[in-house]
Parts: sequence; C-alpha cells; structure tokens
Amino acid sequence: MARKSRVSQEADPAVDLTPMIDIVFNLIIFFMIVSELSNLTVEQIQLPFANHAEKVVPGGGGGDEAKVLQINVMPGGLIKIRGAAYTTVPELKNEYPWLASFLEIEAAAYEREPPEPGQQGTPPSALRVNIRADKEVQFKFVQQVFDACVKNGIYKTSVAATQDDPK
Amino acid sequence: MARRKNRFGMDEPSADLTPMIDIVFNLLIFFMCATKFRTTEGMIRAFLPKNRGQGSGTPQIDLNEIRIKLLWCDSSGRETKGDQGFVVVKIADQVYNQPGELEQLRYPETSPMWEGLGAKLADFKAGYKGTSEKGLPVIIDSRKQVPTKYVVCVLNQVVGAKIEDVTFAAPEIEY
Repeated sequence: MARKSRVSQEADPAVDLTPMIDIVFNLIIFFMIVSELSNLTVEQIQLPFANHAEKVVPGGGGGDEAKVLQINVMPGGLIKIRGAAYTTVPELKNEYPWLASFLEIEAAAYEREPPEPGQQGTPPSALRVNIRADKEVQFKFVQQVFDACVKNGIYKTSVAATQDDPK
Repeated sequence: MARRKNRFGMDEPSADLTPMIDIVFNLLIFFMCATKFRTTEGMIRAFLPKNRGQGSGTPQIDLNEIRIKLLWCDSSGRETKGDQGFVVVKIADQVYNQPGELEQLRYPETSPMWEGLGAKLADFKAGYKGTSEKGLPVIIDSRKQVPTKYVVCVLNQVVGAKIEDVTFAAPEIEY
C-alpha cells in the first residue's frame, strides 16, 4: 500500500490494483478456454468404464470427425441427438420422432460405399455413429440403436466409454 | 475520470477502476461456476455385421466362434423376463459369476471376474483353428434387460484380448 510521506502531510492511501487485475484477467481467460458452454452433441450422462477404449483425439481422426454422429442414450432410454429427442420405443412414436427415420435422412447426406461381395440390403454409408449410452440403461435401447443403424446401412459404429477409474 | 495532484502540483488523471473490477469479478465467478472439466472419454469400435444378423442373407457360421452370453437371471440362476434380476456371464457351459455377485459390489466394473474372462478369451484366441481372416469370431449375446455397463465390460475384455471380429447378436424376437 503506497502512502505519501509525512512531509507532504497528506495521507491519501492508494492501493496498486495492477497485479490483482492481471491475475484476475488471466483467470478469466483460463476459464473461458477450458469451459464448455454449449456442447449440444454431448449430453451429460454417466458412461460405462472401459480401460481398453481408444482415446478420442480431437482433430486427430484423419479429418472425418464431421462424419461422426453422436447418439446419446439417456437413462430412461430416450435418444438425444444434437439436443433433440428421438425414440426407438413404438409406444412413444407419437410423442417423439422415430430414430430410424432420422438416421435415414442423415445417412442420405453422406456418400455410400461400394457393397461387399454378396452383401444384401442398403449399401454401407460413410457416416460413423458413436453411441454414448448411460451405463445403467438397459441394453435393449442400445440394441435398438444398432438395429436402426443397420437398417440404414450405417455399419461403422462405436460405443463411448470413460477411461476414468470408477473408484 | 478523477484527477489528483502529483508531487509537482500538476493534475494527474486516475481512472476509477471499481466498476471494471466488479464486472471482472462477476465474469470470473460465472466462468468458475460454468466450467466443467472434460473427462477422459474413449470409444470402442463395434463394426456391425454386413452379412449377418437381421435382414441379411445366408448367415456364415464359424463353428469355432465364441458366444459370450449375458443372461438376466433371478436369484436361483434361472432366466427371467422381468426388470428385476441379476447378470450372469456365460461362455458355452462355463458360468463366470453367480447371480447377485456383481450387483453387490460398489464398482462391479472393477471385479476380478472381468480379468478372468479376458484371460480366457486370450486363450481362446491363441487356440483358434478356424479359417477366418480376422481371427476368432466373438458374438456378444446380451439379454435386453442387462445394464449397458456389463455389456461394455465384456466388450472391453474382448478388445483387451486383441480380438477383432466382434459382433452383437441380433435382439430376440418376441412371439
């Protein structure tokens, strides 16, 4: 704290705020960089643990990250894609859009790869799907997502998992 | 802008920093609260069968394939269709856990049973005498009620055993 000398007979305390402002600005910049304010593709769910899972390297997947569709399977079995809800349960077909119909439209936007010899059905799509399922959700919901993918020629799928030890 | 006299008696401009500091502190608190640090997220590739499963042609059956079953059983070990049940992992006739053994653990993902399953799969892979180019085919056949974490645990051990030909069995068709 700087004070004027007694000679000047004027006690005017002035706090030097410069270092504090420097630190606070640095903190703000840090939190702005590390925070995820609106990540619509990835929902907050508890992923299952798998220590042998491949690490997802942002920007390191050969440039085809744009072709990866994140499908979130929520704890109750509801499907969320880019923030919108879909369903695979026939009883909920009137309340939410049908997942297979969405995937049909989505896969149509990507080129089709040549089918393998003897393969029947829809030619394989270049679209890749990553299924992020809550660890407690019944597997039938994940199976239904797989089924919807196969029906639309989406064979490149992966299951998301956390590598953080559950303990 | 406030002014004060310097030692030469001249006016020295000084900015009032209070509003800026208020805003900066508010921003800091906001970002501190809104920050969610990323957890290490990985993925396990699960290429779906193009020539097997629902809606495809004649299935190619490899007699050496391994089918890992995740059954949904009651406490007596009998399969149940209800939502309440226990997971039982089985390959052929070998049962890897008793009903409720995994569920009673706080972190069933860390049970030593999974390592045992992984070691067994590595043995199967080493002893594979089939003709498939991709090596030992493994089918994960899970009942629909099984929580996904157990299926991923099995998939994790299959990947850990360096088995490349992994497929999920088609869902059961109810009559």
